[in-house]
Amino acid sequence: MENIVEIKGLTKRYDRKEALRNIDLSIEKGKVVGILGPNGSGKTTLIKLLMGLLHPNKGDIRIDGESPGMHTKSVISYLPDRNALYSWMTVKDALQMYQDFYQDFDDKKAEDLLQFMKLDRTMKVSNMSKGMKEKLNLALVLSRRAKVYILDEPIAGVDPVARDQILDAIIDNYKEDSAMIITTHLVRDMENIFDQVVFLGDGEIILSGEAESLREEKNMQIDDLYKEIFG
Amino acid sequence: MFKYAKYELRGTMKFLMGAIILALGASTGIQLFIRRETRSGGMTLESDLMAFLMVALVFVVVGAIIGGMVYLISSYRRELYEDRGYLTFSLPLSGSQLLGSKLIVALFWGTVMGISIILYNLVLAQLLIGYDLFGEMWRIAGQIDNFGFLFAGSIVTSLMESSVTLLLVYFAITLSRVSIKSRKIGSLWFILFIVLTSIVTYIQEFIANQLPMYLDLSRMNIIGQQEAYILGVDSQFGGTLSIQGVVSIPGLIFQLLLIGGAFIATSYMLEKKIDIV
Repeated sequence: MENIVEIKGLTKRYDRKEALRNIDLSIEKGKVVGILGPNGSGKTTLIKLLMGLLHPNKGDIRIDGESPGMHTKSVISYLPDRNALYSWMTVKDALQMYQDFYQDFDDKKAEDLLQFMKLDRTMKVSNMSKGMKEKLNLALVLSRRAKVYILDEPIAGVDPVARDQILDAIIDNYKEDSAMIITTHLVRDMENIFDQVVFLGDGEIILSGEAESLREEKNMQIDDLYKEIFG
Repeated sequence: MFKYAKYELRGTMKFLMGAIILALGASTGIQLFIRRETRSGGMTLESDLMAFLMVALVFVVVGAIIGGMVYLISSYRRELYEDRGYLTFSLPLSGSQLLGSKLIVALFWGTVMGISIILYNLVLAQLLIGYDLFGEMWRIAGQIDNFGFLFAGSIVTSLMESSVTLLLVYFAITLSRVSIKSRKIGSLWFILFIVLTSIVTYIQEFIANQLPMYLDLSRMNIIGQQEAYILGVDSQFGGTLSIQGVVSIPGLIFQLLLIGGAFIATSYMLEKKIDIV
């Protein structure tokens, strides 16, 4: 399969601290890739670099053959690790905004996802709980027919019921011609989704490979491997 | 660009409509007080109290417009420092589209606020005091040569002046964000803005003085220093439109270049240099 994401020698510094050091990574179409690591390991920095929200100090990123910019933003569907929807918006406004900006937005799918997440179009973002905001953001992200989905900590800080709903939505809406990149430190809940995993620690790739091969090779679950590496 | 402007407009509408309504309410109160006092004989049109109330009225109008502009500027700043930036900067928008939207919406609100508050007060004064302000203005306009050119010129030049100010503010905020990561120290953008404005004003006046070439809008012809002096134009004048209806051509060209330069530089920083941390 063709690589949709290619990263070469990527380095990002915040002042003097190196958040990412010389990262090389390729992601094929059709793969679900888990970027795993504890807090502060560089997962969100990597995602933000892919999204063009941060600019690298060194190295090269290619997504769908292009550097992060307007084109890549139009083919990536991104779920940030916090709610970024404007507080004045209602669910309806948020849907309209996605429809206006993304040609790949599927209104029918959005309707189904809103029903599944039990969200009403008239609800105001500022009146929603953290879990509801997370579900709304995920519904918007999964309603696109994007080439790359990037989900930054999609289940962090939500209750177990919302967590199951979110995981079901991710599994049900994954498309084989897209790539999906998910960062998490809650490995146990998500490890069955991953085709490929990348263990990130202190800004470096410690281990990466096919999830199934790693399980066989190390004779343990990815969650146990995570604990062995970072424990 | 207009796609984003639509959301910027909606996001700022509640506060700015509130500011307009508040200003209209305050000016209604002041005008009603003036009418009551003048009718009861407690105040004449020439009295000190009247002068004070007129100043208060001007303060209400100017205060509402300044309040609105401060809100719009803080809305730009919030994109660079708050979580909403994650959404804005992940949209497929170029730096110039984002900046252009912010600028258009700020100019739009400035115009709407200015026109609505001034027109409302003129109409209210006419209704309450009974003085035909519009008729008087129309009569004065009829006495001015080429009033149409002067009117259009004043609109264009005030839009240019506002654009320069807004773009210098946006430039200063963006430059502070790029060079200083801390939000607290990032507030130094205001000092940067003051310094930039001083430099720009100095250069503009310097150029205008070195190249004394003016456009007289009332006669639509180019004049030199001598004729400008006869018309009463200040020899230091380098701005866009004098009270005599004269425009400094080099000053105008400098402003146009400044608008283009500040727009390109700020757009570039938004697209290539801003880190949403």
